[in-house]
Amino acid sequence: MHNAEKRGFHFLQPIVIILALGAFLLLFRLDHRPFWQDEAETACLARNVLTYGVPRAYDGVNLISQEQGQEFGQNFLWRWSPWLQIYIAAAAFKIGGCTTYAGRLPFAILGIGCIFLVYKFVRRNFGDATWACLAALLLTGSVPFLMFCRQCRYYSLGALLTLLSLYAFMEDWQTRYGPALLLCLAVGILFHTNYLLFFSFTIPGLLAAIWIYYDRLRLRRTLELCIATILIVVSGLFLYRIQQQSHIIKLVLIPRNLENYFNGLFQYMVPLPIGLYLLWRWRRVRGRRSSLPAEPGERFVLFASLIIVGNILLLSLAPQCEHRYLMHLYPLAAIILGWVILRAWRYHKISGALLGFLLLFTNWLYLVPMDWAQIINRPILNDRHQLTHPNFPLKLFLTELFDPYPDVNYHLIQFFQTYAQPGDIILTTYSDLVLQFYTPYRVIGGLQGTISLDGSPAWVVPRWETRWNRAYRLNDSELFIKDKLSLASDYQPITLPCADEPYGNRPDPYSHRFMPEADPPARLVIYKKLRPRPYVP
Amino acid sequence: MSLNRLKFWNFLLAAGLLAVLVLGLTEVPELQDYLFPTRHLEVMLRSAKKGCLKIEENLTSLRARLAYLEWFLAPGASNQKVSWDRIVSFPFSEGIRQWSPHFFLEINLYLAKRGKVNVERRLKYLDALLYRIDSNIKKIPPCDTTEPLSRQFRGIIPSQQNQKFHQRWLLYNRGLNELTDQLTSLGDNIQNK
Repeated sequence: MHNAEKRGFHFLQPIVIILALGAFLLLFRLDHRPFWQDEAETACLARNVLTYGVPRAYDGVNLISQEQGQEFGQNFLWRWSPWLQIYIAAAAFKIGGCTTYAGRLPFAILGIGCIFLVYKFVRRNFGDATWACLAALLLTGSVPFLMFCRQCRYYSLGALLTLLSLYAFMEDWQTRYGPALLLCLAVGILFHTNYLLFFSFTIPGLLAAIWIYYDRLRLRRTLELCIATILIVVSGLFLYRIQQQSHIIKLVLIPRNLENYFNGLFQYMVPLPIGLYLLWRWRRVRGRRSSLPAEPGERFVLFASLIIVGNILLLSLAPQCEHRYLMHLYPLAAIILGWVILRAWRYHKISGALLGFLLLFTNWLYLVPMDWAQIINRPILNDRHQLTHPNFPLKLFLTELFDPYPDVNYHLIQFFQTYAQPGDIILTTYSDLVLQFYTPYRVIGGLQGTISLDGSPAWVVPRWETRWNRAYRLNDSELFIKDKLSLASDYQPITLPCADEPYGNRPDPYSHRFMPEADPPARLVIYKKLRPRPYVP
Repeated sequence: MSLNRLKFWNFLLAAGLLAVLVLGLTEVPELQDYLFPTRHLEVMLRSAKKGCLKIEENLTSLRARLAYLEWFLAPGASNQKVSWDRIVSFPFSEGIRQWSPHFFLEINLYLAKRGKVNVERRLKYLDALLYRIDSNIKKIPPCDTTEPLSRQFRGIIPSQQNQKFHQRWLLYNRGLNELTDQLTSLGDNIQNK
C-alpha cells in the first residue's frame, strides 16, 4: 500500500496542481480586507508579545478584552485562550512587520499543509490515489475552509493538528517511537491551540478508536501516551483559567447548540442526504465488532463520522456556539465526501459525476434538501450572495478576492487615520480591537466592560447591531452612550458611505459577505464631539 | 440484487441529483433575476412572514414564562405539586422547582431575559427586512407589483402585504415593551426576596 506513493515527482501530478490551486486561493490578496474583531484580538496580543515577551492585555494605552475584563488578572497577563496562536502571529509580525498579510500568512500556509496532509493520509493508508486527490480537491474547493484558513486565528492550526494526530494514529505507534511522539505532540499542542477543540476531539476520538480500532490499542503504550499528553497539557489547565470559564456553561442551551451545530454540519460540511445515506449504509452496525465494515477505507469513514458527531455532542456543552468550532473537522468531512463520490461513481457513473459536480462547484446539495425539509438556518438579513443561499461558492469567493469591497472596518480605520488627532479617545460599541490595532489612539468600549472615563470621548461610534453580554444585559459601552452621553446636543453625526455591517471579515459562513449589501439597513455613523463655543457676554 | 431493482435505484439516484441540480440552478441569483424577476421579492416576503411567526412564537413563550414566574412568586405556589400542564410547557423548570427554588428562579429569569433579547433582536432585523422589501418594491415597475406573486401570496399586492407586516411589527413592539416592564418588575421582586 505504501509503495503506491513511491513514484517520481512530476509537476503535472494531480496533487501538485491541487496544491498550486490551494496556494493561490489561500495566499492571493491575503490582506484584501482588514482584521475583524477576533483576529484583531490575536493581532493586538501578538504585538504586545513583541514588546513584553508575553501576551499582555494592556499596553499602557489600550485594553484588550471581549469578556468584560475577565481574561486577565491584576498583571494583565492573558489567561483566557491558549497562547500558541498568539506566538505564531507574533513570530510572523517579527519577520514581516505588524501587517495584515504577515498576521494571516502563517495560518494560510498551515491551511496548505492541511490540503497536502489529507492527500497524504488517504494515499498512504488506503492506497487510493483517486480518493486522495478527490478529498484534497474537495477541501481546496471548500469556501468556508478557505475563509477560516485566511484568518489570523488558530483555525487552520487546529485542523492540521487534528489531521496529524489521525495520521500518527494510523501509523505503527505501538512499536515505533516516531509516530508515538507525533501523536502525543499533535494532541498536546492541540490543547495549546484551543482547549475546546482538544476536549471535543480527543474524547470522541478515543472512544471511537476503542470501538473501531480496538486491535491498534495496546494498553501499556496507550497509557504511556495519555500520561505524556497530560504532561504537555497540565500547565495550560492552570494558565488558561478553564475552571473560571466553566461557570458560564448553561445546560438549558444544549438543545439550541445541538440544533445549530447540526445545521452547520449539514449546510456547509456534509450534506444531509449524504448523512442519511451513511446512516442507512451502517444501519446494521451494532455494538458487535463483527458488524463493523471490513473494508479499511469504509471503516475509517465510519471512524471519522463518529468523531464528527461526538465532537458536536461535546461542543454543545460549551456556552458559545459558533460554526468555527467545527473548522478542524473540515478535512475529515472532505475525506468522507471523497469516499462517497467514489462509491457513487463506481455504482453509477452519471450519478457519480453529478454528485462530484454538485459537491465541488455548488452548495446546492447542502441547501436545497434543507430548504425542502424547512430546517435551514438562514439569518433573516442574509442576502442572496452569501453561502446560506444556493450559489457557486468559489465564484463568490473569487469575486471577493478580485474585487474586494471596503468593509465597515476598512472605513472606520481610514476615517480615524485621517481625522483623529493625537490624544483623542474613541468610544465604539464594537470593532474596538480593530481600531486599537490599526490606529494609535486610545479606543474604549466594545465588549471591554465597565467604562471609567472623565469627561466625554472625542469620537463615538454607536453601531447599528445592538450587543448584549452573556447575561443578556446591554453591554456597558451601549449603556454608557445611552445614559451618559448626549449625542444629539454634544456631537455632530458624520455618515460614511458604507453599510454598518455587524462584523466585517468574519469567516463563519452565515455571517460572511462576499460583496456589499444592496440595501443596507443602516449606514455607518460616527459622532464627532462639538467644541464648546467661546463664551460671549 | 435483481437487475430491475438495481436499475430502479440507479434511476432514483440520478433523478434525485438532477432535481437538486435543476432546483439549485433556478435559485442562483443571476439566473433567478433573469428567469423569475419577482421571485426574490417573494422570498423576502416569505422570510418576513416566517420572521413574524417566529416573533409571535417567542412573544407567546416569553409571556408564558413570565406568567409562570409570577405564579411561582405568589405565596404558597412554590410548594404546590408538579402539575401536568406546567410540565408540558416547562419540563426542566417544573422538574427542578421543588428541589431547588433558587436555581429555578435563576434559570427562569435567565431564560426570560434571553427570550426578551431574542425578540428585540428579531424585531430589529425584521424592521430592516421590511425596509429592504419596500425599496425592492419601488424598483419593480408598477404593473408587476399589482400581479399576484405566487400561490402563497395569491391576490395580494406586495406593497399591501408589506404594509400589514409593518402593522404587525408595531403590535409586536408594543407587546415587547409591556413584557419588558413586567420582566423588570419581576427581576426587582426576585432581587428583593
